[in-house]
Amino acid sequence: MNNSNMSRNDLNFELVQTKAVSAPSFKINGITVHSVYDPVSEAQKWAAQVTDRINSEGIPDKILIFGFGAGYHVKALTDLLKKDEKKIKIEVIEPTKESFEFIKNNFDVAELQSNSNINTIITVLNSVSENQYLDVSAVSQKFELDKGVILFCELPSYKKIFPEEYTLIHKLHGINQFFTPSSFKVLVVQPMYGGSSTIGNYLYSALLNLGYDAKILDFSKFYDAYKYMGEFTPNEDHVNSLKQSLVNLMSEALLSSVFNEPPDLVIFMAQSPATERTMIKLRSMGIKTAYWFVEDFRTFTYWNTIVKNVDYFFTIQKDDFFAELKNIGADNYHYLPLACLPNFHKKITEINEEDRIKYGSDVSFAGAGYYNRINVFAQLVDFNFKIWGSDWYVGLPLSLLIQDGGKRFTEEEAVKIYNYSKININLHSSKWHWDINPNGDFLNPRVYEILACGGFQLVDRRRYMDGIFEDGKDLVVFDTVDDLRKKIKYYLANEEERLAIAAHGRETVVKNHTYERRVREMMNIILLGSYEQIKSKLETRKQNILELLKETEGNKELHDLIMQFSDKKSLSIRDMAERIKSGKGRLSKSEAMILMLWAIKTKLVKLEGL
Amino acid sequence: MKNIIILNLTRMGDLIQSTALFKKIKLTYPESHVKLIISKEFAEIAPFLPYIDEIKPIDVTGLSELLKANNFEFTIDVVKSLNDIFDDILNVNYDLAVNLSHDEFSVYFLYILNSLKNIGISVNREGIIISNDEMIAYIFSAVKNRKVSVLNLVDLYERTIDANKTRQHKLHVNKIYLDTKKNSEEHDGNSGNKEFEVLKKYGIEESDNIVSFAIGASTELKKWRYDYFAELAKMFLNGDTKTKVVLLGANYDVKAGGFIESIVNNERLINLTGKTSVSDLVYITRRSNLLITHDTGTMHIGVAVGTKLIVIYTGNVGFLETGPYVENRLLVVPDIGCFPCDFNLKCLNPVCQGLIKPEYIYDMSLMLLKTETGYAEKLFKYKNTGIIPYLSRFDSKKFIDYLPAVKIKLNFKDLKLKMLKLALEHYYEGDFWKIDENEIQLFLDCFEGIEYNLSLDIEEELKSVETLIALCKRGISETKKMVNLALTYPFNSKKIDEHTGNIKSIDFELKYISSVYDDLSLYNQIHVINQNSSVSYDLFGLALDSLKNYSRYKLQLNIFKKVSLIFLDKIKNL
Repeated sequence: MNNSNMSRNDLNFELVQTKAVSAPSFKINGITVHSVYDPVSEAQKWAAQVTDRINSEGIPDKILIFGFGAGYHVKALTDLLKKDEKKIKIEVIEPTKESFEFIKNNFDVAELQSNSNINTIITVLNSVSENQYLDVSAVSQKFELDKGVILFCELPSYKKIFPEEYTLIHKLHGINQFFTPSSFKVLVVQPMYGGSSTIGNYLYSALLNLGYDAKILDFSKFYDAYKYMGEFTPNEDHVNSLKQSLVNLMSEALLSSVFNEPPDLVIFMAQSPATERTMIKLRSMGIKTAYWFVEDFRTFTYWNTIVKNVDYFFTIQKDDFFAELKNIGADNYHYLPLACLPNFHKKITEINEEDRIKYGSDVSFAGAGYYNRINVFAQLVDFNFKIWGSDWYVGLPLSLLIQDGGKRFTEEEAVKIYNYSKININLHSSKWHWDINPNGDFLNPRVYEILACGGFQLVDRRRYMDGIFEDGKDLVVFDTVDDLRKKIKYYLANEEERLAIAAHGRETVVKNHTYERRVREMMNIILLGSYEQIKSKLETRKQNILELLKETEGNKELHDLIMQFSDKKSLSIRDMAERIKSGKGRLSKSEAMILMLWAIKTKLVKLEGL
Repeated sequence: MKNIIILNLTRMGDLIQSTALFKKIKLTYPESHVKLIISKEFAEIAPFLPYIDEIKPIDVTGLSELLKANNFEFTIDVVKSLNDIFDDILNVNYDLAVNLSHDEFSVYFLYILNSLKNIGISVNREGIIISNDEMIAYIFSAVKNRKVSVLNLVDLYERTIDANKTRQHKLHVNKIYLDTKKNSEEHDGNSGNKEFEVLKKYGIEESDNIVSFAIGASTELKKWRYDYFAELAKMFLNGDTKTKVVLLGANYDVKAGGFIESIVNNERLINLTGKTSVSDLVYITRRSNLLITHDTGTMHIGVAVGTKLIVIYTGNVGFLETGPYVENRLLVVPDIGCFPCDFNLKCLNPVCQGLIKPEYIYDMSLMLLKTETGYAEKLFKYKNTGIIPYLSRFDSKKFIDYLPAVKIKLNFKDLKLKMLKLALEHYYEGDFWKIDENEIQLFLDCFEGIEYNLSLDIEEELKSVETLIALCKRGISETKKMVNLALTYPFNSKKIDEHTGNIKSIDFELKYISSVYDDLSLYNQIHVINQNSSVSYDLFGLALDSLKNYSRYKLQLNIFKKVSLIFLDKIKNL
C-alpha cells in the first residue's frame, strides 16, 4: 500500500533573504525553493524554457504547474505569454494546505490570481484519506486532466520536496495523455454462479460504457456439471477433487481464450476459475491481472492463495482484512467498495399496474434466506411484507411471505421490487449472529442498488457507511429489531419524508457510487501501479500506427486501411479482419493481405491451439 | 503466356504430385517463364523439380512466428516482413497464376497477385468459396467430401490447364517427375557425384540389394504396426545376405526407428530416421530396389524416380485421391468394411493395421523383386486373407485407376465409387455420352458375386437423381425467364425478386435432396460453388451464369444416371 497524506504536519518553513533584496525565497524542510541569488532571473529562464516547449510542441489548452512557491516563475511565465500575445490558461498545484498557508502569509498571491489576461488558478491538493487512489479520480477530474492538451511542468525544487505528490500528478497527467479506454483490452472473468457474477456483469457494462475494449468470459454453463459432481459419491474429498478438476479445466479454457486474443488486463471476479498456474501464465505473458474479492474475508478464506499471484487485489473490506493481508506479506491490496449501475438500476417513472401489484408492498426484502434474516423477519410478519429470493427454508407464518415459491429473482425483477416497495429492508447476512451483526463493516450491493432505483432503504448499521451515506438523509439505519419495527411504522406513516430521503439517497449514490466510477478508481490504481509498463505498451502501439502510416505512404490502399484504425491506438489483425469482413464490395488487395495474415492465426489455432 | 506463377505452399507430396502440371504448362506454353512459390521448409526439394524456371521459397513459418511474437498486431515489423517476402512477387505482372491448395493463406495469396488470369479457389469478402474453374470447383468439393474423392490429384491438377479448348484429343502427361539426374550432375564438378557420395555416407554399396521402409506418415492411423515393420525387416535380412534394409523417416519417426532397430538387431539394418535431408531421401529412394511405404511424400518420391513400390494402406487414407501415380504398382489394403475410416474420425481400435501381416508383404516383395510385371496372377492367393492387393493402371480416359488383384464380392460402396469415378471422368474429358462399357466390364470382372441385391439401392438413388434433374430443369426454366426479364424489363424489381426467390428455393431443394447421398452431395457442392462464383454484376450476366450452372449440373447428373443404368444392367449378370 502506498498511502499518502497531502495534509502534512511534518513540514517546516523558513523565509530566506536573497541577493535580490526585493525577491525573498524560502525553504521547506531545509530545501530552498527559489535561488538565493536571483529568484526572478531564475524564474525568467524557467519561463523561457516553457515557452520553448510551447513553440516546439504546439499551443496547449492549459499549462499545469506543480508548485507555486513564491510565484516568481508563474509571474515570469504570464509576462512572457502576454508579451507573445498567447492566451493560455495556467493552473498551479500547491501540494499541501500548510505550504499554501505559509505562501499566502508571506508572499503576494493575489496579484497573480487577479491577472485579467491570463486565467491563473492556484489549487491546493485535497487531503487524501486512507487510500489515495480512491481520491486520485477526483484529483484527475479536478484538474481536468482528461480534457484537451495539457503542458505539465514543475517548480524544480518541489519535485524534491514533494516527491510522492509530484509522482502522482506527473503520472496522472501522463495517463490522461497516453491512455484511452478504447485502446485498452480488458477481459472480465466470471465465476460459475453467485452474486459476484452479477457484479461482474455490472463491471463489464461499466467498462463498455466507459469505452473500454472489454470482453467477458462466462462460465455459468459449467455450473450444472459442478453440482453434478456431488452425485457420484458421498465422499467429500472425492467430490472436492472432482470439482477442482473442473475448475482446472475452466482455467485452461480461460487460457485458451487469452491465447486467442490477449487482453491488456484480466479482471477476475470472486470465485472465478483462477488457478495459480493460470495467473502465473498470464503475468508471464505481460498481461496485468486484477482480482475483485467481493466477499466477506472471514467467510471465504481462499483469498490467501489468490492475493500473491495477482498484480492487484481489490477488496470490499479494509481494516482487519488489510491487517491479515499485510501479515501474509501482501502489498498489492486496495479497497474498492461496491456500487450501482445507473443505466440499469433506474427509477421507474411509468408505473406498470401489473408489476406494481406483483412486486409492490409496504415492506420488502430481496435476498437469500440466511440464518439472521430468518430470525429478524419472523418478527415482522404483521406487516404487509414480501420476501423475495431463494433458500428460505422456513415454517409458518414466515413462509407465507415468501414470494414466487422461493425462486431466485432476476436482476430486472430486483429493480421492480426496489421501485414498487414502500420500504426496502436491507439486512446484511450473517451466519454467526442471531439477528443483527453489531460490528458489520462492508456494504452489500443492495445498499447501492436500492438507492439507485429511488427506493427507500432501512439498513442495518455498518461501519463503512460513515462518510458514504448519511443516516436520515440518504437512507435510514436500524440497530435492533425493535428499532427496525419502530422505523417501519414511522416511515410508512410519513410518506413525504420517506420519499425525500429516497430521492436524496438516489442523488448521492448516482453521483458517487457507480460502477463506472469504480472502474475509474480501479484503473487509476492499475495505471499508476503499472505506469511504465502500460505506458510503454500503449505508446508502442500508438507509435506503431504512426510508423505504419509513414511506411505505407507509397501504398495508398493499405495506408487508407490503416487510417481507418488510427483512432484505436492499436492495430490488431483480428479487428482489421473483422472490419474487412463486415465491409462491402470487392475485396481490395490490401484487405486480402490482412485476411491472409488472419488465415495464419486461424491455422495456428487449429494446429497449436493458439 | 509469358509469366506464369504457381503457388504450392502445402506439403512435399503435393509438390511432387504437381509436377505433371508443371510439364503440362511447359507443353502448353513453351515460351513461358514459370515461377514456383514453395514453403521454405521444402526448399531442399526445389532443385529436383523439373519444368520450372524459377523457384522462390517463402518463410511462412517465420511469418507465423513473427505474428505470434507481435500478438497478432499489425506492426511495422510485420509490414517490413511482408515487404521482404512479397515485394518481388507482387511487383511482377503475371499472365497466369495457379493455386491448387484450398488452404486459406494460399487462397488470399492468389488474390493479391497481379495476374490476368487466376486458376484456383478464391473467396469473397464474406469468406464464401468461389471458383472460376470447373476443375478447381471439383477439387475443393472433393476435399470437403473425402469419402467420394475418387479422382487422383495428379489427374486433377494437370487438367486445370486446358490444353485444347475443344476438349478433344487432349494431351495428358500421366507422369510425375523428379529430376535426379540434373541435380546430381550439378555436383559433379568438384565434389564428385552427389548421389554416390550420399549412398556411400550411409553405407550403401553398389552390390547391395536395398529394401527401404518409409515408416512415417502424417497421422498415427495411417501407419502400419512398427513390430510388423521389424518382423518384415528380419525376414529380408534372414533371406539374403546381400540385402540391406533402410529405415527412412523424419525427426518425429526417430523413436519408432530406434524401436525397430532394437528388435531387429542386425548391422544390415540402416536406421536413417531423422538423419536424411530431402535430397538424401531422393537418392536413397532412387537407389532402393524396393520401397515399402505408406501413402506419403516418400511414396511420391518413389513413384517419381521409378522405384518399385508396395504401399500399405490403413486408417483414413483412401488411395483413389493420392495413390501412387504410375502403372503397375502394388497397393495393399485391409479387407475390412470400415476402411478407409471417415476422415473426421479418430479410430481408437485400428484393427486394420493388424490385418496386413508381415509375411504377406514379404511374399509380395519377393514377387516384385523378381519381375517387373506378370505377378498379378500370383496375387490371387490372397483371396480371403484379410487383405486386398490392388494394382494401379491408367484407364481409357487416361486417369489413374486401381483395381483389385483378387476376386472379391462387390459391395455398394465400391460400386458407387466406380460409378461416380467413371461419370466424372466422362464429364471432365468431354465424352459425355460415349460411356466406355469396356471399362465397366473390366471393373466388374474383378469381382465375383455381390454382397446383396445392390440393384434396389441403385434404383432408389436413381429416383433421387431423377428428382434432381427435374429440379435442374426448373432452374433452367427460371433462369431463362430471368434472362428474358433482363432483356425486356431489367428494372422490374418485383419480378426479379420473384425469380430470385424461386432460384433460391430450387437450390435449397437440390441441396436437401442430394444430402442423402455422398456422391450426389459432391455434385451439389460443385453447383453451390458455381452459383456463388458469378462475377457478373448485372441481372443478365447473373442469370446467364446461373443458367449455365443448372445446365452443367443437369449434364453431370445425366451422365451419372447413364453410367448407373449401364452398371445396373451389367451387375444383374454378376
